[in-house]
Amino acid sequence: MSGLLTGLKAHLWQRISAIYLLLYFPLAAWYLNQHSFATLQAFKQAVLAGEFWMITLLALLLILVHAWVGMRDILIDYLPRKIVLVGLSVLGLGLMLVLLNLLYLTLSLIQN
Amino acid sequence: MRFSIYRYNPETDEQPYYQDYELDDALIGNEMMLLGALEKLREQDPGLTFRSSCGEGVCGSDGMNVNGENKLSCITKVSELTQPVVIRPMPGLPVIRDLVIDMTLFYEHYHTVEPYLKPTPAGVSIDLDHELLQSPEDRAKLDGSYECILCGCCSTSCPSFWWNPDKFHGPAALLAARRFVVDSRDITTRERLESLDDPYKTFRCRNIQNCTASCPKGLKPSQAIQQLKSLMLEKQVD
Repeated sequence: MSGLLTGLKAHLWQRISAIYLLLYFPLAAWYLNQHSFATLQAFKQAVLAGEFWMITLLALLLILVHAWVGMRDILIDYLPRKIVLVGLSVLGLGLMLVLLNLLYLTLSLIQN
Repeated sequence: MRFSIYRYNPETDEQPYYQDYELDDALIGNEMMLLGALEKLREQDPGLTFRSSCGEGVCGSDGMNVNGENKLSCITKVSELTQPVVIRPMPGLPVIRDLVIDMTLFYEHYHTVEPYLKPTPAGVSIDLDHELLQSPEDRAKLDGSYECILCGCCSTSCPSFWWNPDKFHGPAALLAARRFVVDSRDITTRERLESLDDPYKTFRCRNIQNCTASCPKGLKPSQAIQQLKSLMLEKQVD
């Protein structure tokens, strides 16, 4: 992941994440449809059951990767050259915060 | 027939403007090309400036934006154009005068991809007593790339090139890069691909396809760029 996913690596990760998410969402919809979410506890049990939580966590991480590559491309294309670096830094910080929040949420779910 | 032509002389004009021209329909035949019409208009106004040379769609010097599309004027039939025919210089590069643009940046990108065969290691000269043989199958891989005449219609119609003209190589240069990457006689395939692995040089291509739509030779630069990306992936993975 050198250079914060630029060039070929970004191209590759964008496709890997797209394929994964393309498979994940129908699978998640089908899986969650098998459960009832009458209470928060029931929802937690459904999400944390078996390997589904790992598959979901990976999907969330890949959404971040996909968002970084896609948003980075948009910012490079549309922002004036002088403020591209600022834009990319803000985007990177924003995604880092989302990532930290995600990790906190995951740990909370596992501990409870 | 009515024409509206972009005019700009940086020595005398503060701003570019459009000048309307009228050409007698009797002077325009069914087979007349736009270049012929422009030459007739230049008889009316000797100051009207545009490039042209072979008049056969081979030299690529008369690229211009006609009714919003980049075309070679020498192979564009006047009878097929809607009136008024709005003619502008190709977009994205500085205008020198009227329809003549400064293509320095375009050629610099072409130069950067080293568009020549490198069949021997650096410093080793070619054995001139032996031909560099190539199978018909390997030769066929060059089809669709070597025919480029460097008119610039593709690169100047590419929004990614407009946005980053100094960093993105553009479709024409990348088509040339692909031509030498797939050439079985070239021994620098990996180095060529590594030099193209950059967020700007190649990966600014967003597959918009304007390049393919505007190529007067019917080439597919967009497809060539996608192939370059696939080849980069293969060479990195294997």
